[in-house]
Amino acid sequence: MKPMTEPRPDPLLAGLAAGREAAYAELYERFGARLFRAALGILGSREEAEDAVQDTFTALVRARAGLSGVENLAGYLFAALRRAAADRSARRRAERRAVREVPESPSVKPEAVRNLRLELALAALPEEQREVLALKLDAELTFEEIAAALGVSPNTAASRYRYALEKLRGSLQECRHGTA
Amino acid sequence: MELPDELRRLESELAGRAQADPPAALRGRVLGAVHAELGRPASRRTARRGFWSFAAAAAAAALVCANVTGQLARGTDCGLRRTAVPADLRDSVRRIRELLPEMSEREALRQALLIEAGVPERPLPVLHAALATANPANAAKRE
Repeated sequence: MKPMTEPRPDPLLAGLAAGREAAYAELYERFGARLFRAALGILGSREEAEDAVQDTFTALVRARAGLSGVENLAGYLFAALRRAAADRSARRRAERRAVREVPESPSVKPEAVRNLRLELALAALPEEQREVLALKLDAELTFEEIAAALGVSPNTAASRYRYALEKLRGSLQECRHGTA
Repeated sequence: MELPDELRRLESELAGRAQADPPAALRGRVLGAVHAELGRPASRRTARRGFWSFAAAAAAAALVCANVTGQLARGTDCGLRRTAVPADLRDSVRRIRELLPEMSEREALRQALLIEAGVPERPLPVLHAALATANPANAAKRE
């Protein structure tokens, strides 16, 4: 039997809804790093990932009146991050900047080369697929949480993830054949 | 979730990448932004919303007022309903209608009022003469 998503009352949500700064600090402790990694995975730029995390928190403060009714905090938070990242991404497109930055200080070690290849293949994925991989692998969300963030069913989230992995594998194989 | 071995390996490889940590300064920056946002007194957005709510309410009130005024103006009989019309005015109306049977009672009342108020040009001239002879008080008032 499929486990039910429990509507557990979260005291953190009450604090956020009440506008208590300590609650926002706790939220950052809980999710800050994962939000940053997910944003980095989606946007590919540390600077913009930082901005997106800040935008997410600011948006949360503005929408705090409705927070007490949120059932899946992670889903809600990453949905907000996704919107913030989409705004950043749109702004970036408008500014005609590079789609993705090369990771900082790549060394010449083979491991680093492999990582770089992986990063480039990730960067070449469509945004929708890059997003689901970032939420699963960088933010370490469950498929239920990803589903809530993306506004789709958990099955769709899972199949989107699998499809993204397949696409990535295909890109890496092409890359290997191309460089061989 | 069941994945073929190849995808499972790729997933492990992706998961095993060095995870980027946010810079230490990000926490302070984010919480500073939260503090600023929380401290913003009745944010500009709310104030703007307040202004537009007021503007909408004022416009609605003006519309209702204009509508009611129009309705009253169209439907008004200046409070001179049959029961409120004084006896001598009713008499004038009756005489006017005797002279001009095709005239509506409403118009007859209006003409009688004009004559009563001493407005010289507006009433039909024929009524002046007729009513002056019938009611010398009115004629005296006009003079």
